[in-house]
Amino acid sequence: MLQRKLYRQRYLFLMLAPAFLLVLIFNYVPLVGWMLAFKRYQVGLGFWASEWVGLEQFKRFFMQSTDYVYLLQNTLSINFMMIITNLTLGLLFAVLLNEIRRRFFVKIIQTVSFFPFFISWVIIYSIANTFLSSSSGLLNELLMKWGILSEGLNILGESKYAWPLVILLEAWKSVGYISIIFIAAISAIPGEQYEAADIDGATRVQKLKFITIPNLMPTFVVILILNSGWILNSNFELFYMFTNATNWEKMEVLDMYIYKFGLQQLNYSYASAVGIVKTIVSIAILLSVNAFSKKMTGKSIF
Amino acid sequence: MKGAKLKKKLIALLVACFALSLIVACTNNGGNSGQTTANPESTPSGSSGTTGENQPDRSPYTIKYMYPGGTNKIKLSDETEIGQIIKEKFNIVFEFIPYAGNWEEKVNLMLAGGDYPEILWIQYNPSLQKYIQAGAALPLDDYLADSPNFAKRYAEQIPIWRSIAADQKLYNWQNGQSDFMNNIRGFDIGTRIDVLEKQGYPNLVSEDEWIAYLKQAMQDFPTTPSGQKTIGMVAPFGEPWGMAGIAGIMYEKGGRYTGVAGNGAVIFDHSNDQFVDYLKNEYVKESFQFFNKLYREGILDRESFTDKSPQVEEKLDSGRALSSWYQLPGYGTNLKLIESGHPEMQYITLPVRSNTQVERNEKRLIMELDLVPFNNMIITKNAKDPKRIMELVDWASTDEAQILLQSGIKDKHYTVDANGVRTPTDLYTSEAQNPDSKVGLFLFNFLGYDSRTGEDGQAYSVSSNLEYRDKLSQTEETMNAFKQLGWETSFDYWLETAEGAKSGVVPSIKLDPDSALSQTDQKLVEFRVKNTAKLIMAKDDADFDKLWGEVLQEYEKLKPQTVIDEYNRLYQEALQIFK
Amino acid sequence: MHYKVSPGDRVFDFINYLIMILVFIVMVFPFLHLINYSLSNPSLVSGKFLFYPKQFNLDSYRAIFANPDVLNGIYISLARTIIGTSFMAIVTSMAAYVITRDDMVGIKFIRRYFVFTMYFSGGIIPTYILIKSLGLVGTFWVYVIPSAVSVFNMILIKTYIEGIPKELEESALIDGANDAYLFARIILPLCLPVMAAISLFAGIGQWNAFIDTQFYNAMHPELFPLQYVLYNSFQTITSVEQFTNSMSGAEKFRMLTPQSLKIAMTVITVLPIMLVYPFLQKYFMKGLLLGAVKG
Repeated sequence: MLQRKLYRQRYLFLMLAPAFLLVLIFNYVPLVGWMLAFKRYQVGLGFWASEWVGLEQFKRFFMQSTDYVYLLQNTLSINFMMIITNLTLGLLFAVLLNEIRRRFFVKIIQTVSFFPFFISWVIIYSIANTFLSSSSGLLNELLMKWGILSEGLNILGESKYAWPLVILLEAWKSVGYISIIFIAAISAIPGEQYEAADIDGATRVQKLKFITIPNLMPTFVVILILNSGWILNSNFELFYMFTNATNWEKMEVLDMYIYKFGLQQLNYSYASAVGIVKTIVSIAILLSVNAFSKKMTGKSIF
Repeated sequence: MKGAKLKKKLIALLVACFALSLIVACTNNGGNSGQTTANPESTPSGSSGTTGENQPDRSPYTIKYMYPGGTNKIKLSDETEIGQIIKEKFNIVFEFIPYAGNWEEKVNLMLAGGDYPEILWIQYNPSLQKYIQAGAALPLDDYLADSPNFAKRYAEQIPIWRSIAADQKLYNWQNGQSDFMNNIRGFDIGTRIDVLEKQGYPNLVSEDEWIAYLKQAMQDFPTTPSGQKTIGMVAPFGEPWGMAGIAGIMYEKGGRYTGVAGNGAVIFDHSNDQFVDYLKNEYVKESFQFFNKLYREGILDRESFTDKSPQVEEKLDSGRALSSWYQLPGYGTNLKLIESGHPEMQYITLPVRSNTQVERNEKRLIMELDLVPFNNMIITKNAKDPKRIMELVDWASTDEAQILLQSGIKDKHYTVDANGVRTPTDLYTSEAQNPDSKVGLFLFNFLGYDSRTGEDGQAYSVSSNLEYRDKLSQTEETMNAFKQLGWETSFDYWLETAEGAKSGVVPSIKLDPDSALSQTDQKLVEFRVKNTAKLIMAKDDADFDKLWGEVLQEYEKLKPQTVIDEYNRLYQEALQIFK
Repeated sequence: MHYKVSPGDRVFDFINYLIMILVFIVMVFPFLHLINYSLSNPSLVSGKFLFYPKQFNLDSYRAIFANPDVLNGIYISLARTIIGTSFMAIVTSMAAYVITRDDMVGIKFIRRYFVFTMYFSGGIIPTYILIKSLGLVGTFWVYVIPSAVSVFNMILIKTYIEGIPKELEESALIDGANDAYLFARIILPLCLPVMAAISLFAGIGQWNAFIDTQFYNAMHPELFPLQYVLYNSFQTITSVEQFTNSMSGAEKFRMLTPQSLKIAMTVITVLPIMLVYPFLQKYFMKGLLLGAVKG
């Protein structure tokens, strides 16, 4: 019986085959590299010959330095705030955009809001430099001209600006993209709710507050949960460009740390160990947020 | 049915594009299939032995040479005159491929993947060690017998180069040996000549003089002619070597101390012939204090902490910077300023010393590098014909070759007078200043670049000629400024107040990269980098002293003395062997 | 719909429009500035923000296009964008269809197999070694093959397919269609919007990519895409040069990088995207909508 089914579905297998193979090769095979976390990898010796040291690299990360404290702090805080900010701004933008009557205007704004999304972080860094540099950037020049400040804010340098900086840049880049999802969700809201509100004589603002936004909350929550699994993953290009000697305390995230040790210092074992820790914690977070949500709202992914 | 038609058109267009791009891809790939691995497509490999000793292998040999930085406009070495000569002699051509990312990372990555080119430039010792340990670097001992010129020129260095490797074999050579006379030039701080003029061409040396000067300068020149706000002093602290390397570099402007390449936690004390701690050095403290004062006076660019070289350069090119630390505006910047109609805003370089250094008035020490540990070249396991490469390197070690590589062709680029003195021709001058030059001067430094004085008392590079140097690097206006200062050349000050200090084995002293002490060394540097900014931004002298005390206290906890002691121990060992 | 227009509503509208204008400025101005910068004389514009070019000139662009590598870079970039995206589209969409079929043998395992990969990766060095062993280093195909499967896109397409009425599938099956026919002739044409969406994403990724060149093809200039060519050609003084005392002044100046060239390069890489996107926006948004919302 099984054989019959297999034969009947042979085209399905054929269609699946390329993707299956590619994923096997490029996603699963490199996992063998995780073994390196348990060895002391010497480049010349290759995988197999390097000495097995068990959990030594893990111990090094947690016990020999307090690095993990500030790393986790930065990574978790920044990512969490990024998600919330992006979703909130995306939602608000979608809602407000939806209220604009002139279609032409809406189209333009929507198109334009997508522009930053297409730009690589390398370029955004140079844009940020032009606008935010402490002596010559537009922002500081204006603030100084208007007498609000006497000297420029060193936004790109000082660590106290690190979090707001990356969060806002990320928001600038993503708001167009995220708002799409909410726009779609808005169009899915049943019209009856609005009609009922009309009958009750509600103003537009009231409709927004009591109908539109509450209806969007489930979508908001789902996306929030979905993203929780990636909360330890940071947008690598972004941090690569903006992390430097003066803001590292608040800016350095796990991925940068792994990269630093892995490629720059070729201490690959240590980097793998940290990478594994990161993956385990990510999955743990995802599963627990999922379970929590299931309990609270009945909605979950798995 | 409009939609269907449109769709059909779209599909047709897509298919056409697809086909076209496949063709492009395949032709490009076809050209590469011979090069996916280190398979020779045009060379016989290592067959020189079989052709007999009188017929060295002269089949065409193209070697890919990848290097960091991406501005070399020459793709193939035989596009240049010097490259042509090399081709005639050895039928070797180099393909130059610039690499714009982080070089150390690339070097490491290539090692991990076994993907390295035939010859490789390695900057830092740990990477060099890794290549040697991994067996990726080829031992050169077997070729030494056939390389008499190489062995002669680097007779002093070869034993030290050997000592790098655990098995004491020779794996690398270094480029860029230098001595005092040939490397004297303007150092320290670049500043605009119109600013100098306004203040009557003061002879600036001490830090206090500079601070007063810059304060006045900012008042005299609050904006550029085009209305941009000026900056007192710019610096590229944002570069990876910025904080670590140049914030404390005041130490090299007095006597006694010179730096040790690699920005470790140590510098070298020549008067006591030992390594000492970088952070705790008295001149380094003064360096930080200097910047602190500049910062407090609003002179130091707030952005210096995040600026990298390109940003600093932009500020120089536009004349916004009234002065520049370490990244000295050169001929190119001055040319741009002339072009944009502001020849008066050109820059010259003047000295600076800390107050203590001025008091002591010791001669500044300029390291004469017999060893150049940040400029290593290896031949890798992937080399198709190492013997031929060494042959070329050996030839490059001869005097004639060095003169050719650094000065060009006799009677074309330089003339020789009755006493054997080489003088550059006008063609040389124009070529040296021509970014599209096809001569190839200094293009082949990786084969060996000796910038010390030769046996005939001259440098191999004709541009090192003392009377000639300024012709290449100074303009009418800048020379005038020097004249007003009472100088004859742009480097008078240093000629008078500096002297060479032989580096001996010092640059080669490196901690074992796998050792715990090496990790401590890294931590010390990290600590210094992370705290330098804090110190520079102290609110006042009292605050600075307080911070300084705290920083030193924290620093001690890392046990820096253990690292210093280890350096000195290794140094003493090396002295025993090589004295 | 009739709205009761209260004064509060009017104020709201007004503020809303203001906000949108602000959004417009924030999104557009940075690019405007860049374009103007690239058309200006560099020594006049340091630290200024530009609404229009100063001393309009095309020098930077001329310098860039005078570089023969740039032309080759454009070919390679176009090739990888088109081929890479098409290949990804085909492979991913086929697999996406398969995972919608609940009746597929081992479907649960298959679904988990793919989704799982979204949560981890092997790391830079094992991937590098793998690609090297496959002989992909130094080839064009390293741009296309490793990135061919995007599980995220797969899920988007899957969700979209699930939104297609079952009747269409069923009637085709009654007519005797096999799975391949079903997919190619019925499902796929209906998926145009979501395919447009993921193709746009992938296309941009291919167009902007250069890290993979840096890792795998750095020694093969004939394979450099546009981004890499430009990025490479205009690098400035590196840390090396700065620390090497043994360089004459003449050499040093030869290696300066004009900021304006860099910015012009930025404009060249960004402009095509901006010009193409508005035309695809309709499909793009439709596809995203239906694919993402259900997901």
